[in-house]
Amino acid sequence: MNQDQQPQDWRKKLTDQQAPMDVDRFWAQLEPQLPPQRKRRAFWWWMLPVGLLVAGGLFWWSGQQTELADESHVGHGAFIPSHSAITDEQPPVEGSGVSSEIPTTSEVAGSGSADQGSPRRSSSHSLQRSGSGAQLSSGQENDGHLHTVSTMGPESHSHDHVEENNRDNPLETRRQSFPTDEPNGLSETVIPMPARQEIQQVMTLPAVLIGELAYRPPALQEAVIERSLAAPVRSGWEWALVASGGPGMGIRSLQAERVEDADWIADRKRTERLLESWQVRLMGEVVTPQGVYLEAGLQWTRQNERLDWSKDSTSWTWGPATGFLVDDQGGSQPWQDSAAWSSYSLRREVRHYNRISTIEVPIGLGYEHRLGVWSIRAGGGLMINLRQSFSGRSLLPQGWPGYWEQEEDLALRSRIGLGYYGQIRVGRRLLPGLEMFVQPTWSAYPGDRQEGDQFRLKYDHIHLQTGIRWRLSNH
Amino acid sequence: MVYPMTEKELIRACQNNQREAQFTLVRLFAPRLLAVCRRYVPDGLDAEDTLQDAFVQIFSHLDQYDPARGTLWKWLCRVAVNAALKKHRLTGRWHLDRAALEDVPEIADLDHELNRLEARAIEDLIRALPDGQRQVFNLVAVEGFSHQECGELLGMATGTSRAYLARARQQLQQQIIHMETQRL
Repeated sequence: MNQDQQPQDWRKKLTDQQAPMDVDRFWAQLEPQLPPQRKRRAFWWWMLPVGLLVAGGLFWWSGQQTELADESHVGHGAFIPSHSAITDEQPPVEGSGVSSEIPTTSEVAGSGSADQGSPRRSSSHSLQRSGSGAQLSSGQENDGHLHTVSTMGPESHSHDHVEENNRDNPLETRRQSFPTDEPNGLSETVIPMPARQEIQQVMTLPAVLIGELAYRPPALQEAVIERSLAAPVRSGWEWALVASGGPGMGIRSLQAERVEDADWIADRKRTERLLESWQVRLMGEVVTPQGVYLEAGLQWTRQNERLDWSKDSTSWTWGPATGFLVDDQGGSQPWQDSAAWSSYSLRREVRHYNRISTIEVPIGLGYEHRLGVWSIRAGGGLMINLRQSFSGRSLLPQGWPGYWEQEEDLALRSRIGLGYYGQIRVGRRLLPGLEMFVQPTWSAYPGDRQEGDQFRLKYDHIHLQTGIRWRLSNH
Repeated sequence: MVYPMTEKELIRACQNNQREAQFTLVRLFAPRLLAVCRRYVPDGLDAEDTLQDAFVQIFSHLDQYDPARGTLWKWLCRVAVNAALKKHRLTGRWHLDRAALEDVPEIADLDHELNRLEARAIEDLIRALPDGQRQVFNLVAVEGFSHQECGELLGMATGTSRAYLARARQQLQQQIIHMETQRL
């Protein structure tokens, strides 16, 4: 700019002037003189259905593989027999008292994992599981000794498997016969995550990228450019209704306490594997001209998670013991002793694949900055948890201690939970009002009560959400 | 809710010869650029021809646009002016005696006088200037080019450009005084 110039209104009058012209006619004359148009976008539009077909095929294939894997898993008769082999020969000893009063191994373990639906396991299962556990250990030894499966009487505080080394005096030495770190033990058993879930996890990001590359229908492209260049970034207050949804990934850590005996049954920082999730949000928000926003609404989250941990403990107990005498040929016979002191090692095995559905009301405050097609916002607030339900299945072999049948949706929450959250969101505009986003979120519930107030939980949830966001606003 | 597409994106799309983006650029800037062309090429049809040449140049050399050196509008304006000057062979025939500069008094309140006029009246005044003075005044005073840039565009020395501008300002001042005298 010329340094001699002063601020001049007359100059602005001239440079702002637009000569009247027929732009369409002008363009029609100009276009033939321009270099030919590139046809690259057509490739991506063809790639989109191809990608969807491939994705669908992979899902179908993974489903087939999962079913086959489940079937072959049950068929591991040599090491993981089904409980029916035991119960067919000898029905479970009923009325032992322990099962109905004291949590079984699986119950404790299940409840320790916060929301795995422990009360839904029947007491009769405990004996069946004991039988299968003993039979498993019998497969490990081939020295002609008998292996005893016992169920303790009312005085006992544990409910375990007993392996007996001396056939003539089965009460002399007892020890826990849970297969743990031994060869052929549970820790050696490969329990894969369902292949379908693995593929879903891997495919989340490419799906978003394909969406990014293939967007922009030509007819809308021009409207986007024109509108965006012609209008200011933000002018005045904005009122908006926002709908968003998409896949994500998350982990949770929790601390669980039984309210009745103040026993911490799950330790802090028991983190689960990173698994995929889905979230749908409907929010209302107000944004000031300075970029400060206030939001409130409703969100539904479906979080898949896998629990995979174990914990050992040892206790002494006194009381009548019942069970089976199992030999290494697979035969068994009932066994009972009126009273005995025994030490028992208890191993809690928690291996679940869960789906947790949550309905929450976030109320938050934050700041949003927009830069071209990008926007970034950071904020946080209160999170009201209206409902949490659970469905899942055990990843332990059928008949294993801690195994339980697949369960459908069950409400876990006994009252409304109050937590807080913080989040950062990076978004990229695709079309006016439509953007894709990545949103890491941290939320915490410091004192959640679940399952009829039996358990108090404290948990943190770190969640990376991606998806598409549609915004209807007054601008 | 407005998510503006950036200038950079628009330029990139035009460089990729995406017709939608090119048409958008034309629709956004053509009317203003036509007004620029008309300041140099008084004939209306010639001005549109010039503008077509300018847009062909713009889309061919968009990769040469450097945002660090100025706004997109200024670059477009420069290309359009260049096209107008070349098409009508207005370059390379400017010679002015530097000594003539000494006789030109500084016009202090010309801007103030021009501010009081309507755009059309200002255009009429500029159009009445001799060729050299008109081109320099348009380039330097209206479009905002420096004397060096003006000299490069018109093929004249920087001093010559300064002299033409001073004379143009003096001429405009006299025209305004004459106009007001007639009005009285």
